[in-house]
Amino acid sequence: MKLTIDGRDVVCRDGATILEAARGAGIPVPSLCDHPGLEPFAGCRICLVEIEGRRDYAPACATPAAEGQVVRTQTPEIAALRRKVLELILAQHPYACLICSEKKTCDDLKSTIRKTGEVTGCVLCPENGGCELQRVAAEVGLERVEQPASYRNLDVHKEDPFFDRDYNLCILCGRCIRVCEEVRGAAVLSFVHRGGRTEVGTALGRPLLDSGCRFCGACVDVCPTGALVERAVRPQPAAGGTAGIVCPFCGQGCVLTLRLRDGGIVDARPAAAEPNRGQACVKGRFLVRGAAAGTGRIMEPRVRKDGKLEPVALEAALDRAAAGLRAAGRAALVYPAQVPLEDAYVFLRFGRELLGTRATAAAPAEDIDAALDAFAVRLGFDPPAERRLAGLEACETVLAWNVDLPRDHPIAWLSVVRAARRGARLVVAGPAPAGPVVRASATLDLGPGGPAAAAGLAAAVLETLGSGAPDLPGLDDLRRTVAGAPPASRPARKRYGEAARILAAGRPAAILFDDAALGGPEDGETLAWLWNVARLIGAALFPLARGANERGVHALARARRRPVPDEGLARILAGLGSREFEALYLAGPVPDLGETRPPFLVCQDTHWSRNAERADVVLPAAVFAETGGTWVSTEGRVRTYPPAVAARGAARPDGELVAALAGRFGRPGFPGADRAAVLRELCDRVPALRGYRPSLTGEERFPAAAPAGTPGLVLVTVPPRRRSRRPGKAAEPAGGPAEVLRGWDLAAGNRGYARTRRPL
Amino acid sequence: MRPPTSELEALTAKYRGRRQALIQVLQDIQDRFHWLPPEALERVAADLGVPLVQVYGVATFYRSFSLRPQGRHTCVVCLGTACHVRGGQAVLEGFERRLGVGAGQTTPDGAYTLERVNCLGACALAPLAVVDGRYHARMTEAKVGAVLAEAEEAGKA
Repeated sequence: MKLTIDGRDVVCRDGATILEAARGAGIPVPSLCDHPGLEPFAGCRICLVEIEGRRDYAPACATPAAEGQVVRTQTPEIAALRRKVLELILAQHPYACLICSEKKTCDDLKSTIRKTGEVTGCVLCPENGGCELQRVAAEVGLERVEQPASYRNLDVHKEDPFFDRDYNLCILCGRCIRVCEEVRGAAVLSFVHRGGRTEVGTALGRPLLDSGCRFCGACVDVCPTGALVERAVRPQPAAGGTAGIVCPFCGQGCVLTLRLRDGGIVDARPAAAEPNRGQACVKGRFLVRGAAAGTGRIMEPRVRKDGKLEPVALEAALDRAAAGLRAAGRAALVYPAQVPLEDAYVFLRFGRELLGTRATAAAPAEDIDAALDAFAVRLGFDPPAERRLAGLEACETVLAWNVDLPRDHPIAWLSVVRAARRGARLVVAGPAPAGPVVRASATLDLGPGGPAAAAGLAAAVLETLGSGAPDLPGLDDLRRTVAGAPPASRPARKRYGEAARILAAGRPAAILFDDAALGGPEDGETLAWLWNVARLIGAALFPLARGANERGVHALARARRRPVPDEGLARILAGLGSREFEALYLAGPVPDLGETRPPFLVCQDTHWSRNAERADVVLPAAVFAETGGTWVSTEGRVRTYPPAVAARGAARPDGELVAALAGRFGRPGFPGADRAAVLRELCDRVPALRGYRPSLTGEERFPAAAPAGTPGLVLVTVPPRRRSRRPGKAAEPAGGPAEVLRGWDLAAGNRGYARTRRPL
Repeated sequence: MRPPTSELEALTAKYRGRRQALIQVLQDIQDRFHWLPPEALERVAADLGVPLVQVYGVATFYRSFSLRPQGRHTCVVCLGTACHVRGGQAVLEGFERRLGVGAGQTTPDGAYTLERVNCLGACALAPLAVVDGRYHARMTEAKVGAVLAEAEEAGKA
């Protein structure tokens, strides 16, 4: 589409607004309420422009560009209008500094600073220097404000974790309200009251903690003023520059931008890249700094002498660790699943080749791919599964099976929100709530158990489809199996029927679940039933990985598993209980070993834990931001980033420590110290990674498995229906499972985070 | 008064799932209980499928919704231009003295709520007071007692 802006020919895509067209052509138009990714709002009126043939001035952000349009963005009338509009906006915002004649020299001379508890000017504002209002005031060229300053004198909300809300500085642009509803599907905020008293607020003025807020920080990131600012963080460009990392907290692999100063992390903000597109969650936004900081870190190697852990040189600690491990008759290795591929690979090789043990397992051990592998054995081929969030976003129907998406998979949840806003329907099975914006079209309680509920749903789907069911091998057998099941109660049948009708109606469809959703010993049964439902309605299974590098570590272990598989973590923990192992090389987070501590314990970790305190040798490991490395997301996107900050104290990357230990096993030159070489080696060994070229942009690997046989139905016995009126209870404690990043306990390490984990 | 759950349910049930009925259902609840208790807002949000904060936003926007308990009787004194020049302020003060509360407040026994408005559009009747929907034209401070007594009587009947 072609139009003319300020006398220049401009080309833009169909459906673009005038603001987008102008900015795309490099023509600056000031605005405050507009934000990429949010619906046009036209609230601030700063972006008013003149359109030929139109009598009034039009807000560029909410006016679609049209073929042949002639637009003027810079006329004396518009300049005057914008100044007036900005004056009105500033009538309730402390503006003294914005129009101060000494503004330019203020930073050097500090001629106007005063001690005060209130933000009465920019010099006292935490957003000073990063404020969009300052930028727009400069663009618009405001020199005076006719209205007298009226400070609203509202109480600053300090009751919630992570950030304060000072609505004295709010200009009512509504960005926070819109991002919360449109993008996050939370709708925690709204305009309340009216006229001069209008304010952004929560329902009934409650704290965010009691309003369903997930503390994703999206409102803080879009706020153009100092009204919403992370505590104790200044917005000025950080002296140490920035660095991109992959978030280490969950499997979605968000890209975060760290701002650095004095060798430390100032804050972490979501990058615009896929998959998170400028969004993060409470962990990525607010916990990264604490996880990499010095508090609770293991700073130097220690060795137990006379019952006490004494600091020693690294060489001495390694000598002692190697001697103890070599002397042991049987040793086990527990390595961390939450590390880059480079480190996980070195651990794996060390366990197999030098400890000579199959007792090598990753912790935490939850692993969606392991569940799928087990099911593949039964099925006879790898079940095809959709993993890409783009595929999820395109769905018309989504079944969320026993997953709390906003809490555990917040970025996948954003795809569901986008699909739902397009009209897709959501069916929720289990106790997890959907949200006030994206309402579930049907809900199923899991009743006495997951497999029974999944079987009930399969029965309802069969009934709904009737003779229209696809002619799949095993269909008649499945019908007979289901018919033999005890009948469900009438209300349950009604709800399942409703869910089945919704699921059968819209293509494409996806069934979302993670390994916790399958849960328990009946694991494979639920998955088998979900597979049958997916086959019958033509939906895609959509497994979600919870751990940061879960898929990558799984692929490594799987590539090295043949011909004899390693023993699992549960098996190792049991073996410790029965005194089967004389030594344990512990680098992954496991529950307090207590009495099951083996005679010799080496603990290599980032943070102190009960187990580290019990160890004979403690080795200090570097954290994610200090090691950099390669991570695989739940989508199968592989990314590599270099170290962002120097390692604290004497901490070294895991691979380096393992290689140094290997030297003491008579294996000089064991890989680990040269991370690039390790990556090259492991990429050669894992088919999905062959030819990978490391970058933060990354590459999409791990393609969805293609069906190798006829994707038919799987016969599963129908679980007995226990009589229970109570809705299904999750096996985990209220507020979610205990969460750790290696030795760092999230809730213990950040009290604000602990407060957000209360059940909603 | 705290609304019994069953009555709230009866009021919201017919609007289930209808977002566009938000103002209507809030009016129904305001008419019935003379205010919008927090539990009513939560009920409305759940039944209509509107986020609670948006229900709250609408409830705080309109003057005719109250988020605090209102008295059994409502006294509204007009202080528009015409009423003001004809002694509306004295009438308001008369109500305030008699009831012992200021404008915008409710008597501790929950009997009366006193409100002031900035024109009821009946300037020919100035100064004007409205008690429980009854218009009292050419009000004076001296008539306040009689007007209140009349409201009390009407309430009993």
